[in-house]
Amino acid sequence: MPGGRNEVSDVVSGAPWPQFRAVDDVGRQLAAHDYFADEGLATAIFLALKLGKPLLLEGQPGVGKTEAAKALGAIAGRSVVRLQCYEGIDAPQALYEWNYARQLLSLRQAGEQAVDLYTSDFLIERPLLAVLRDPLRRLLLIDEVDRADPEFEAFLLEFLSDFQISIPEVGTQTAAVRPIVIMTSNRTRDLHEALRRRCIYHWIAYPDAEREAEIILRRAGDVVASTAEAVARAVQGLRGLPLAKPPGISEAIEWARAATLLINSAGWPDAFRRAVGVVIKDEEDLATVAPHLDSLLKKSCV
Amino acid sequence: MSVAVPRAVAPLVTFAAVLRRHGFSASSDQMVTFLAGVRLVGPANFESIRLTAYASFAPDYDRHNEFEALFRAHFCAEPMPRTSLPEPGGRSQPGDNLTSPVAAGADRQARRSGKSAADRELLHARRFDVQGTGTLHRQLLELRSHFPQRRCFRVRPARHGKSIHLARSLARAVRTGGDLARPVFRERCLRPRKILLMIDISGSMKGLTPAYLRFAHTIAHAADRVETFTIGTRLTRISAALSRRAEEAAVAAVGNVVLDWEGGTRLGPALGTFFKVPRYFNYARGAAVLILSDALERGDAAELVQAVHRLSRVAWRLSWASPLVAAAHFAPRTAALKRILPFLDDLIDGSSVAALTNFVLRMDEPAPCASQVWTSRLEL
Repeated sequence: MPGGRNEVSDVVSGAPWPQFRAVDDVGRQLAAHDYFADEGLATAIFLALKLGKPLLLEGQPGVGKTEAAKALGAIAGRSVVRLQCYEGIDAPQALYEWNYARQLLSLRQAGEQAVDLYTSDFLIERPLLAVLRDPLRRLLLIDEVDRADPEFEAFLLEFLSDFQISIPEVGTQTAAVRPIVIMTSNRTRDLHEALRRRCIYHWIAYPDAEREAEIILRRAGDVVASTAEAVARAVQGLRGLPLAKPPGISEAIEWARAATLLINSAGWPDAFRRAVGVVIKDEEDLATVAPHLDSLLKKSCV
Repeated sequence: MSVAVPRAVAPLVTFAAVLRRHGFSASSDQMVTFLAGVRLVGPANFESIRLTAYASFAPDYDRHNEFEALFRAHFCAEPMPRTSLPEPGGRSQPGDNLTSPVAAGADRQARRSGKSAADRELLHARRFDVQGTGTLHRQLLELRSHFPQRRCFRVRPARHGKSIHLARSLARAVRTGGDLARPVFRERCLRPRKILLMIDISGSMKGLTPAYLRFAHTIAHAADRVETFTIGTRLTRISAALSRRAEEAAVAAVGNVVLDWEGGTRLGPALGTFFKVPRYFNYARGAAVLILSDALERGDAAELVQAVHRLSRVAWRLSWASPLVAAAHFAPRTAALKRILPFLDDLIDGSSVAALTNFVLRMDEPAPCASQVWTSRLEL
């Protein structure tokens, strides 16, 4: 493709990407922004940025997919433009819309005079167009893409291939440089192979107890180290049970916070037991956990 | 014209071919990404190559272990475990064939009570000789508009819509100099509901299994979003196998994917497993669920009742098709069926494909409560 933006050299030289010399740099810089990435995630981010490809992060809810995008936005000094997907999301909600009410008013005001209704004054930018117009200061987060319809996924394919949008009344809008795009999926359905093929992929698993304790300590603020370690161990145990909704990292952080708040009125491990509703939010799961909770807390609070 | 691949790069290039041979997607784009990635990360060691391979080829999470085994076999010359391989070229996913974690415990309990016929899963493949006439397929395609639908967020112009379609109204206003005498109205579009089929493949359903698979294949190709599972001693997702257009090929693929043909019936644990996989659980949300089973559950039915209750809470409509319903003096008298009846919208005849087809084409009509229907029938 002569002069095309798909060439790696163009991508790297054309945009001020975060300066990562090696995979380890990614992990270090993310940690500086309170995000602890394992080697796999750091490699995937490094490759996505260097090759100018979208990054697809899959994983259970609450493992930190969206947080990874936010941390990367902070490193790159770009604002995160989030497109939250849902069933029925349509191209106008992702691309652009015309401000019809304003257009109608202008039409009435103009009277007999000619008025151009299709200028940028009347254009409402939606996330994809917003990032396309200013890729150097914005990072696109397409969140929970698995919730969108397969048709929307097909539409995204086109956008992610060329990074251009055709607005019939205005013309084709093309990104000056490839924007950073991060997609997340909870894997409630299989994404199409064609979409996966265009992305750098990483499955974010739950962190091990040590890493999770570190995350809790950084994120929960007033939680002490022993509490964070106990919560991390207990949450690991809970994830080993056959639960419909295994607790994510955010639940673990909330559990640590809640238990810390309750410590004055209840001692350990009663504070954990009382706050279990913060971490398990399903009736059947609570019933599954109940017989194991005491032994689990006993083991965790050593 | 063939291009000579440098010796150092050859193992990387041939890895894509290995992946393809084992049914993974490995396009030339991904191959280029993989090579560029390896160049970027070093490669310092095998771990960095492995992580780059994961990031570039994006294997399905269910097949991560298989991908790992292939990587080790290719780059580290470790032996490839035969059991982890699917049919070459197929899309069968080992992760889609799930044994219930509670099955073993339930089995021990059943054995003690003497209600269970066997304490081990007898796993084997099955070949099907299915000859479809195509009539059923044609009938369903013609009547696909009868499949249940729901309103979605998208809108379209509608004469009797309740809100104004601003884009169309503006276009009309431009033609009339800014006057909006007759605004265009809009309404929300309809789209097909998800359909979830669960087929009991235990020994007692042996005779009907081929017909059910043919029915599932037809539905999968006639409706838009269909997920199909088999339930026996374990839960197996067969949607990928049924996605093959040719009926014979699809049913043969199912024969390879499913391992618990004609085994015992552990509907409760199998449905329990269904809920423990979040992805599967989401298939049921708002879906029209049709379970094809005689509900002859071994052992305690408590687990089955709990699972059906849960399914009824997330599904839009929960229907149970049993071949026993066709019998002249049938009544839901077994402990399991009596207890799940209050949670069902329909308990229907599942003895033939014709009966099932007729039901599916009436699914968009309001659902009566199965227990009310059968209570009134028994009173009569």
